[in-house]
Amino acid sequence: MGSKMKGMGDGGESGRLHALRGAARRRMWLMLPAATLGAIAALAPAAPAHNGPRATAAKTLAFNVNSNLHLIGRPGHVLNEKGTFTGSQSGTIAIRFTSVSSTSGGASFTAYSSSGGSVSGTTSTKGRVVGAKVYFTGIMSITGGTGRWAHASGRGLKFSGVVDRHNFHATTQMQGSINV
Amino acid sequence: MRLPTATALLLTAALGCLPTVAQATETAKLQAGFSPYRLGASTTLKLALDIGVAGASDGLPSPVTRFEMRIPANLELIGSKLGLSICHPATLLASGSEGCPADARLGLGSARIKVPVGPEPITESASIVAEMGPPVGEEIGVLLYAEAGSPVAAQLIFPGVLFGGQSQSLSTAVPLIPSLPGAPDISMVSMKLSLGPEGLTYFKTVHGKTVGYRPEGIALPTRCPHGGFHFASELAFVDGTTASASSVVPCPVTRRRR
Repeated sequence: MGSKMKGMGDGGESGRLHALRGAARRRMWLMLPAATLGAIAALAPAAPAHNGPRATAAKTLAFNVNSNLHLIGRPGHVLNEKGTFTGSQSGTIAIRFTSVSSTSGGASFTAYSSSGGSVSGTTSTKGRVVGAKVYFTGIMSITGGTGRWAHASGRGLKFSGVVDRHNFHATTQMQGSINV
Repeated sequence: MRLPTATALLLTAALGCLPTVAQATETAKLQAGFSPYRLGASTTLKLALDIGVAGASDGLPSPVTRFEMRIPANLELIGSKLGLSICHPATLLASGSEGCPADARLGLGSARIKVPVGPEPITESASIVAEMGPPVGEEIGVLLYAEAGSPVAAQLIFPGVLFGGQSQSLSTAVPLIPSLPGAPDISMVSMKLSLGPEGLTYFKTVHGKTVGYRPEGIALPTRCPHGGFHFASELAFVDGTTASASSVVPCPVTRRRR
């Protein structure tokens, strides 16, 4: 503290440089929150406008991911699967299938993005059993999320995949876009 | 309706007076159970169906043309490791159930049929094997293969469809089994069917060797549904009548800890 006061008070070349660097540093610190706010606004433009109109328009992101999952617990009417997903986003994913083999099954999922936040959705599924393989398709809705996906929404995303009943490993494909 | 694929080879021993079947009110009785019965564990589902004539303990019921078995939705067959391969009807007819992959087998059973020859119908037994069949449209195909020896030797396929979802049911068409020319068709009076690993052996390759194992069966839920597990069956007979029956497997008695 004392040395800083001394340097500032000296008024020499090194003192001026020091003062300039300090000013630049202060500007940077002032710019950082602004940049962060800008980034947040860009990532979550669909946030509810509690304090007036939205600053940015809703953004649409492609959500085209493939997942590889394995069964958690015992197989049965409900299959709880966990695994990873890659594609336009990547991370880990948990899917709960209910009555996947039937023509009136369902699934709900939560995908945890490796860049933070999670997105959740539900889908009704239509299954077709061919021996050990259960092929399913469905139309998915995004119901929400956390972090950068906190206000995620979407409808009409394609959901398809297959469950192998030898080990109840599953692969899924999700295709569509999400409003964030 | 007679299946074009089904063949019935009739070897009747004696010709006598042919009994006539009067229009009667058929009755049905269903019994369902689990073996073993432990919530959260793999089980074999056991179903027993008795068909009779109201007011006549030894009456000859009209032949069954279709039966539907409603199974609780949370006992999902496809949630098990049963029926991992497909057995094709043509293979079944050509080589019997031995010709199909072992891991297409879903269960075993038996049926008691009455052959209307002579003044008194002859009772005969048939073995049943339930196989995973090719899909029927979007639904699961289940083939019940019945084989009877004497006096009527017959190999028959009862093609079924397993409908999933909130009301899981196995709907099976039963072909008419002719006995003798001009005589009534054969009547089924009882059927027992087990769906599950009991009595089944599947095979897998481990380190280059084929090893037999017992597959995992239908998983019972960890919680018993309110009022127990409800089963129901509906039968349609060739005379146009129907009969229905239901059975409840009560929740297991839980012992409270002191």
